[in-house]
This record gives sequence, structure tokens and C-alpha cells, in this order.
Amino acid sequence: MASNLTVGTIKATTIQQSSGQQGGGGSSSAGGYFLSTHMYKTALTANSNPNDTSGFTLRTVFNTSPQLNVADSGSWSNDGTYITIPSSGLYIVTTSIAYNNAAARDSPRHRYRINTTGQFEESRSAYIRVGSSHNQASTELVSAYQLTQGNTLALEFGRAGNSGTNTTIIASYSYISIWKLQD
Amino acid sequence: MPGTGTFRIGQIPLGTAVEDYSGNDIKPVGVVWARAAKIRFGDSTNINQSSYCSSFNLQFDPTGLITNVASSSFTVGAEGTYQLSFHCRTTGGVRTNAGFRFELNGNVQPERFLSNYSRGGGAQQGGTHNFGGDGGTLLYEFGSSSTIVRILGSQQGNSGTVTALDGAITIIKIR
Repeated sequence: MASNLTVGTIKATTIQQSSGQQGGGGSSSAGGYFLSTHMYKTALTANSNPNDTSGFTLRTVFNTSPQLNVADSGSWSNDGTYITIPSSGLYIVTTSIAYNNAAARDSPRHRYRINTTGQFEESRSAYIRVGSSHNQASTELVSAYQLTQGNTLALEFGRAGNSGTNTTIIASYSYISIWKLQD
Repeated sequence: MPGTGTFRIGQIPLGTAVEDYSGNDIKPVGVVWARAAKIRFGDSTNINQSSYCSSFNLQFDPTGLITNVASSSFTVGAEGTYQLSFHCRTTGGVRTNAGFRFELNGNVQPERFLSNYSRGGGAQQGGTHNFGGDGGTLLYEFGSSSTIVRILGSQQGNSGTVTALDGAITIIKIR
């Protein structure tokens, strides 16, 4: 069936995908499957000291040369501190951030910041003993946010363990990904 | 008044509302939203060294995204952009912390997941902390119509054994 039906409203009891076909969804589709219209991925940089405050502090940590930069409308921007959202919608944000050179029992943590507001989710899985060669660890965080075009996304860091100030982000191991799930 | 029977068409344009007879918006049932699959792994491989997680086993793949599953890899049969997620529980020795990395068609990816620290024995104040877990989620571009995916281990903390147990990879094609 290749025909289209163009009317204002269809009244039905149920609407169901035919057997053997794939339904569309999300922002657009090809071959019947969801395709995201906006996605972005970049590495982090090492020029910060994420473990130096007991609270959360905004850091300039984004590499401004992204690995992945797709926007079917609008455009992503990234000044190193803020990634600006190109189009309104529901986004999935994921990070994996590795740390090293810590003082004993440091445990850096991170969370997302949208515009000027730190979000409630945080990742604290980076305990670093600094003993018996245990000098590295990482935090990972995945969440979904309803964002508006022009919103900024940033990262805040702080300490959850000891107060050492030698912790460094391992830039070559650390990334952020953002993709649009729904308009 | 509700009708009877079935009416079949190719597509309903985006701007067309579909309502029941009370005026409520209704969504299609039976729709595949995105191509996704889940693969279980974990058979006590020591991944505190350059070795692959293994014992891969396909859990679900409703759209045929995965074209092959081998002992320590699976093959994805479409190029595009994917969200890859994994989680794995571990048991570890004294101050061990293995690294987990994705490998795509033999190319080890730079991201390294390092959250599985285990104290092992010998803690000054006793207790048992021999368990950990690790995981992560990021986007990856698959430039080939046939991409072999593996998870490679590495030693990031003390030497010793980190055993990978009961892990899973979830893959979603987003573009």
C-alpha cells in the first residue's frame, strides 16, 4: 500500500500497524523506523580540577571540536563551557568521565547544569584509593531533559570524598553525548 | 457512530489527527519505534587485562538488527549512529579496577569505563568489598554496513583478577 490519505481527522476504534510493515515514530522516519534529528558528541578536556570543592562548580571542560555534530534544524554551538541546544524537544544526555592523579580517597562527582540550574541527578562512582596502583576511576550519568532551543547544557563537578586537589579529568577517555528523542 | 470492518492505507500524514469516537487522541498499536537489541554476556572472563568479555547471547532483536552473535562479539548489519549501553557486575581482587572499552570492527574506542573498584581483602578495618560493577552509555558512529562489536578489558588499578559476570549490552539505532 503506497497511498496516502489526507484528511483533517480520522475517527477510529483502533489504529494498528499492518503485519510485516514498520511504523514510523519520533521526529522523522525512513524505512519506517525512528531517526533522531539532532545529535552531538565531544570529548572532554583536562584543564580543570574537579575535586576541589565540596559543592558543585561549573567547569570549562568541553572540547570544541566535536566528534559528532548533526542538526536537521538550527545548529549546535559549544564554547567549551556551554553546549547550546539547537531545537526544542526531549533529549537524552549521557556522559562518561574518567579521572586520575588523585590524592588518596578522592571521589570526584559530576552532574548536569541546564542554563543556570544544577540538576538533581549526580554520579559518584569514582572513588580513587591511590594505593596499590588504583589511581583512576570514572563517573557515568544518563538522563533525559525537556529542553528549549537556546538552552545551555554544562557540567558541574565537586568532591564526594577526600579533599585532594590533584584530580584531573582524563580527556582521552571522557565524552559527552546528546541526542534528541522527541520534538 | 462507530463503523465496522478494517480500512487499510499506506501512510497517515503527520498533520492528521486520529481520534476515537469520544474525541480522544489514539496512538497506533504494534508500531516498532526504533531498531534495538539486547545482548547478554559474562562468563567469568578476567577482564583486568587485554581480553574480551565473552559468552554473548542474544536476548532480543525484533527488527533483525544483529546479523551474527559469536562467543565474544556480535555483528550489526546497518551503518548509522547508535547508542551503545552496557552494564556488568564484577568481582575483584585487592584494589583492582578494570577498564571496559568498546571495540568496533577492531578499532578500540577511546572511552574507558572505570567504575568497578574492589577493595578485595586486607582492609584495615575489615569488612568485605570484593564486588563492583561498571557501565556506560554513549553514541557511536558505525561507518560500515557490517560492524563487529566487542568489549575489551584492561588493567587500570592493581594487578589481579576482575571477573566479568552477568553483563548486558543494549543497542539502539538512532539515525
